[in-house]
Amino acid sequence: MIRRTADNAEFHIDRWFASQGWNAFEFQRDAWRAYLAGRSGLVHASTGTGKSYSVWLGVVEEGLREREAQVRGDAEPLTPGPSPARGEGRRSRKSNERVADPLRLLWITPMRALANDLVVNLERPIKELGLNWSVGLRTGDASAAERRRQKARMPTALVTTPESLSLLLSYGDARERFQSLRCVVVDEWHELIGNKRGVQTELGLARLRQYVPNLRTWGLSATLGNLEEARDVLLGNMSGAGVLIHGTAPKATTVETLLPPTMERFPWAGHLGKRMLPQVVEAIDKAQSTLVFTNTRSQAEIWFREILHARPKWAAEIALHHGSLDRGLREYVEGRTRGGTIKCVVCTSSLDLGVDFSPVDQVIQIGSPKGIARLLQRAGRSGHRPGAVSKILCVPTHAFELVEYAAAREAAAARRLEGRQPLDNPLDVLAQHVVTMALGEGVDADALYHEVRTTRAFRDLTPEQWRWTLDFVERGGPALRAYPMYSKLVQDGGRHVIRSPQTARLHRMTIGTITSDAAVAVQYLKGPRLGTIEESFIARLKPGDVFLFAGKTLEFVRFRDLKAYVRKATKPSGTVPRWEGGRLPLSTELASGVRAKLGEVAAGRFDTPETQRARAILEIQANWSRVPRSGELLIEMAHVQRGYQAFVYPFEGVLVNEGLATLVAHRLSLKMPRSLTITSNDYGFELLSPQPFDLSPEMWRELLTTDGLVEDLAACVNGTEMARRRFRDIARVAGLIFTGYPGAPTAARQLQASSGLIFDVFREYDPENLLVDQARREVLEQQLETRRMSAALRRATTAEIVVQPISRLTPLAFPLWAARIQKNQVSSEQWTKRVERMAVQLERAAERDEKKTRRGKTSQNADPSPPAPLPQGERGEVVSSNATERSDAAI
Amino acid sequence: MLQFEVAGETLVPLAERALWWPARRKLIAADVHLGKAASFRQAGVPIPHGTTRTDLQRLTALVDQWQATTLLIVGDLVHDKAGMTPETISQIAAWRIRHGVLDWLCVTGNHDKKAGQLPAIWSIAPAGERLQIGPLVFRHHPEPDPSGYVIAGHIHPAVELLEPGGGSMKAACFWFGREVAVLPAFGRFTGTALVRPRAGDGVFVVGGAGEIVQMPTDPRRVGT
Repeated sequence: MIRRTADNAEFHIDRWFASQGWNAFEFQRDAWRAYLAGRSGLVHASTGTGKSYSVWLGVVEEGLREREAQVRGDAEPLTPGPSPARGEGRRSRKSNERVADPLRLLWITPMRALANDLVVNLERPIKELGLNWSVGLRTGDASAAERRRQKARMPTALVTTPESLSLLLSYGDARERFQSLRCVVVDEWHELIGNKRGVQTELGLARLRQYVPNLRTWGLSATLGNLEEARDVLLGNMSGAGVLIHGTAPKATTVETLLPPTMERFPWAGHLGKRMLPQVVEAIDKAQSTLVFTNTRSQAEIWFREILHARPKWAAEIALHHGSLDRGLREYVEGRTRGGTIKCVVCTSSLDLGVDFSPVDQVIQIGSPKGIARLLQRAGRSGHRPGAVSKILCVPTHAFELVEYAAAREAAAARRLEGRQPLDNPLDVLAQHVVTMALGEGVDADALYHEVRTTRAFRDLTPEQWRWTLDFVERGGPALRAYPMYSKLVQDGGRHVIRSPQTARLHRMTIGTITSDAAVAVQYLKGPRLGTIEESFIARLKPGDVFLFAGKTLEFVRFRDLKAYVRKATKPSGTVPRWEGGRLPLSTELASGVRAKLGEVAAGRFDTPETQRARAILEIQANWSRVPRSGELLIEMAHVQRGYQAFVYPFEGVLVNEGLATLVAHRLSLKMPRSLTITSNDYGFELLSPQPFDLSPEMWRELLTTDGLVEDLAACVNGTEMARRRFRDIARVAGLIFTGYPGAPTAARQLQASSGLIFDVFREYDPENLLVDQARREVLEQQLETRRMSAALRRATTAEIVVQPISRLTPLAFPLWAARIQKNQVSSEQWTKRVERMAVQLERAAERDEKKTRRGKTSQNADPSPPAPLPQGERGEVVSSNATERSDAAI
Repeated sequence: MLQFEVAGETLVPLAERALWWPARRKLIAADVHLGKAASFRQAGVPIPHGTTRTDLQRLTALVDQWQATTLLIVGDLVHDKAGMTPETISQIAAWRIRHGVLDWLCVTGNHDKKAGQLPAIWSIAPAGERLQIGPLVFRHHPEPDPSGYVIAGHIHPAVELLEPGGGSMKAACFWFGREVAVLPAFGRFTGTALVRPRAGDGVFVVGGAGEIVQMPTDPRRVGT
């Protein structure tokens, strides 16, 4: 029953809303009602439409009603806290400050950067309504003082991250601390659902529900293709009781394309579309404030440099923002964007979410949008004011992206959005959680098994898998069973606990690093930290090399203690770091849109501005080869000096295409051993072979059969590096490796081994290890996306296969040829034979030195020892050797 | 059989990641890191056991196959103190008994230093930080030495091999420079570090199933 307030409004907070000059949306009121009725659920709405208040004000309303009941004395106080209406609250002994009400709400956000803003937003209504509540922050950035305060007493509402929640749960007093909790909110749930942090969140929620059985769980999400599933994953086995609340109707969004003036000069696989630069600069000039989104951090660096080059006078008004930059720099840029004092920010998905950038009135997308939900999300960063239209301006970097934009616009209008697949049974996360629980209250094996089975991720966890995981955590698994030296968990009155303070410390460090890559800090010799960069990139640099980072041209000086020291470069140009994991595939929905669009084009329909502009290129494709009609699979065959090429175009996104290519290569090499070079992109793949293919459409169809898909894939995954690379993450999450990070204790030094090495040792000495198995599984499910693959294969085998000889590279083939730099090798050749064809990468500077020496001096002894190795992988210590100094010394 | 000549001596790099010096019947290995997995286990990282045993078996196979009279380790025989568990010590002691007549010399490496005194039961002749035999100087750190050509370890060298088509692969290697040679790490549970040889260096990559290949380091052929 709903109690009416004095002025007959349904909710107390209606008055506060009115005082702000706002009207509550109906979906917000729905959420308040559901919350007050004790229910859980998921609210989805686009950014900036009041999602946060749809839950938070429900919690506030509950507090107001309780306060009112207390004042009227018609109910026992529901919370032990004092009522401010009585004029005076309990005062803490130390100060005159009133002690706030105990913990009620936990607000989990995946983005640490947003936490501060959130605190401000949550505080606003409680301050103005005079509730005796406090809002606190617990993230990796929380100060020691803040932590101490929270140890003494939790705030009424605590904003935290999935990692910090795990950390809180790793302490013995967690049950007590969370006892008074009523609600958990998981913000940006769509960002968590498809990854391991999401699973970590699920496990944390399961634990909180043990503490507080009638805990309410609310998720906030952007619109997804699988909202009901998203809600069910969040609620675990409580999903039956959950509601799904739809936010306000989506904002009107327009998708426009910046059309290249002429197609003749437009590159097919252009160098990041720099020819579009003048038009982009002009568009930025016209708008107040622009966000320029790129798909990778490298592209962001390049575009930032180019825009600055084109308009040097913007130096103080344009900024760069991506996930590798130092947090301080990022926050500075965010602050200025919000304040409206910036003309343009070049950014990556780092600005997809979060803070409200009202001053932004234009969003530009460089290159493929990759997915429809993503495109809409980015568009939504502009026109943040109610009623405003979101607009996104797309900038093609090659001709076929024009087709992608046309397809994306149609799909967006029809709301064909992507879903996010939740993960199943990631045992590395489970292993980590078991240790976390052992650190806290200790683990009762049966009880914890039932608890984790209440999560969606582990609902099908078998007793065998559970026993293996427990055994692995406890004693290192069956491989170490007969090895008494090793024991991580010890028994204590029927519970598994951890005694070793070192293990505890290392584990707490592991929790915090679930998402971090092996990153190296980039820092000026004398000056601030600029951000982080992947170790593998730094490993390739030699002192004196110049590279582009944080929008600056830097010279690499030296590598020490996991820091890359740099100085400002005097040379103008440099390489751009390539960050790993930057290859986002075209989504299933967009890929199918592109296939349909091309089908229309093949049928002679050019009815969008984009396809009209791309017409010249599409006609070249048609004349030199063919534009695939719908229901056709195009295969182009060519013979070049280096061998025979087969270009296959399933249009399935880069990951699936790569999987298909690996599969086809494997099946081909079973028929005849050969070395094949594979290159793939979002549209298709290229196979390069020294021998001719000579395959009829029927034979291609056989190569593309779904029969034996998983077996064949497992066979070629075994033979490749994929599982090994995948293991890197798993090893880190499961606590097998400690990625050194700045400030790591040197004791951990002796314990550094690369995950690849551990993977090899496991495979050899503990072949039944389920984490190795998981690496293979992740390759199949996530990297090769077997589900999408078998759908793709089914489509391919029912398609009409057209094998088309070509005499020169077609517009479709060209990008594959051009992208042959990043690729995989599948080979059934003898190792020796293969190696004999390869070349060793030499020290080029040394060669030059040598030539000089040969021309000039004759001293034989001037040549120093081998140069210092570059830091990579496991290594005792850096051998410092400076070639110049040495040769001087030798003379 | 592949071989390489330095300072007038013929040396044979073996696919098993050890170096054979036929004239002196000496077998040379670097960076064995015995007990490393045990050390990880001590710290709560569940590395399966078997790596130290395998490494000892590999040494046995080599000593037997080449009828070596001396086994010379150029540093980092053991990983650290924590890894010197009773089991590690007795495993190695048993191995030593099996090879009673073998001269076993060990140049001290940075890891050996941290591990402290080697158990007497292993009967290893300590060779200090530097050992000269004929024209060759054996030491752990790959630094040139005025009195001879240096055979060293420490850096676990590997090279990046480039496929003509553009692929690449990392492989552990022997690296013979003008004044210093660096051996690949012998231990099964050891990593590698990429190095970039210079034109004219002798580079032998090891991998696959007991295979070893000399890589051309002629810049005209390599053309990177």
